[in-house]
Amino acid sequence: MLILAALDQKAMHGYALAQALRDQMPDTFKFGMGMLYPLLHNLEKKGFITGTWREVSSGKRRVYELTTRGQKELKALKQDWAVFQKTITRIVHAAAI
Amino acid sequence: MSPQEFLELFTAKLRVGEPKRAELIAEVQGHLDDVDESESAEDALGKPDQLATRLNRVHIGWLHTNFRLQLVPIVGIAFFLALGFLLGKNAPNIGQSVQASLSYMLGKFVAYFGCTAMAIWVGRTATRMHRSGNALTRFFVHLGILVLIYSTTVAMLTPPAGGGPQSVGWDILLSFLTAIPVTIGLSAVTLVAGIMEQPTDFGPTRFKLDRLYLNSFLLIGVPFLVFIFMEFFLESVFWPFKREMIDYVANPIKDAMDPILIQRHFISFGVAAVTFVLLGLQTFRTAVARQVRNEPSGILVILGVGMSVLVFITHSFFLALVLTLGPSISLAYFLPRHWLRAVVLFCFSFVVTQFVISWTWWDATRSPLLDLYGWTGIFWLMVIGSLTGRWLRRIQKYFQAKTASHV
Repeated sequence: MLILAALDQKAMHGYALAQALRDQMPDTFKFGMGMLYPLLHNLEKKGFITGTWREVSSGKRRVYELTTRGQKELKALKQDWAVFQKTITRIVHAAAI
Repeated sequence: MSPQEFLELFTAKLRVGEPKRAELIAEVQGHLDDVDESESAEDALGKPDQLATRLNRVHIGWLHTNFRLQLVPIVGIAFFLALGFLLGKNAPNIGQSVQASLSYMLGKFVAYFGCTAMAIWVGRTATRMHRSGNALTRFFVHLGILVLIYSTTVAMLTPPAGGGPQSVGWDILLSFLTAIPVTIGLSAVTLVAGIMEQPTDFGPTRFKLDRLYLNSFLLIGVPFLVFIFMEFFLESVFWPFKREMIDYVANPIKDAMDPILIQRHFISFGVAAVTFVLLGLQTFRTAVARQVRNEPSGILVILGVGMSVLVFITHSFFLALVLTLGPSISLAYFLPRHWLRAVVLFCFSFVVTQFVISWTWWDATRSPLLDLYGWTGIFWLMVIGSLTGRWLRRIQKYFQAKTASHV
């Protein structure tokens, strides 16, 4: 979901995506960069993102962007996450009381 | 670790064929070019061998399923040994036949699954590393090792003359006859698939056709996968429980075979031969289809040709398969819950398996509830039916998603 959400903002190549994820995450929440490319290729295989070789400032890079299917998946994941978050918050607050 | 060292190690561990391989290396190289000098390559991308392994896994495709299926007979053998010796205490005939047929069982296991596993390995090497020459050399080396192991196992486990169903010499000869053609057949096809791994672009129209072939293969091929395991399990693992084997141990003079049963045997043989040819052709088309999409076709070729070859060799249970599997898969697919599928498959398979067995060459006078042969069939059908149902659901989801994305 994190990758899909990041790519929803703009199309990025692997390194830029890694930087974006690092910048937005607190230090306590680590994202293993070794998983980045396998995840990207897996998402591409599922049709959620698509990668194309493009010329960027640092040279030719494979840039990933969200597909229509990926946008739908992200929307569904966001909804699931909202429900999950709401439920956990309610339980935690009830326990605190 | 420097970017250069990282890339060298990554390249050495990457087992993905061209042209995808070059693309992955270029992508990682681009990433490393962007990394600051203050940051090491490992910090930026993790360990190179792990990264390569993870990317390799993406290309394995259906090997996981195959791996799981290959584990099942191993569990079955353990079950067989335990059950055989437990029953042997109270049933001398069964116990004796278990011990007498140990070599037969192991021989079948090594010949079929050893060959299949090795051919898969050769196929993967050929398709993923794109080094057909090396794969060919390894194939011959492994063929020799396989035959040697098999022959030694048979020789060691076969009881002295008069104690077993076959002589040691005959067992060894059979091991060669079984292991060599099966391995050559399976591996040759995977080598062809490896050689075929060239960048090919058939265009969008052909692409759709290939997809159709692929899905058709799954629908046609899966039942034959079941057939292999039924055949293997029923013919070898539960061989001691076959009535003719028990009779043989009790009284070596066998009765002549019923002419009607022989006729039925030939019918199933004919159907199996036709299936063999069709499946073989189908598999080659599917291999090309997968190559177009840059996916290794080795495993698919193995499944397809392996199944068709085994259908041809061990044709005897073809009718049982046809009668049992189609309805079972349908039930597995349409029933929503896993346990419900299992229960229905259990009941359905039990009845059909009993019917087929009594129709083909056994009499129906034995009590079905005590027939281990039938129970074995049920077990396999439950396992395979469950897997098949899941495959079909995946295909359905794929097409649903495809339709949704077009909308």
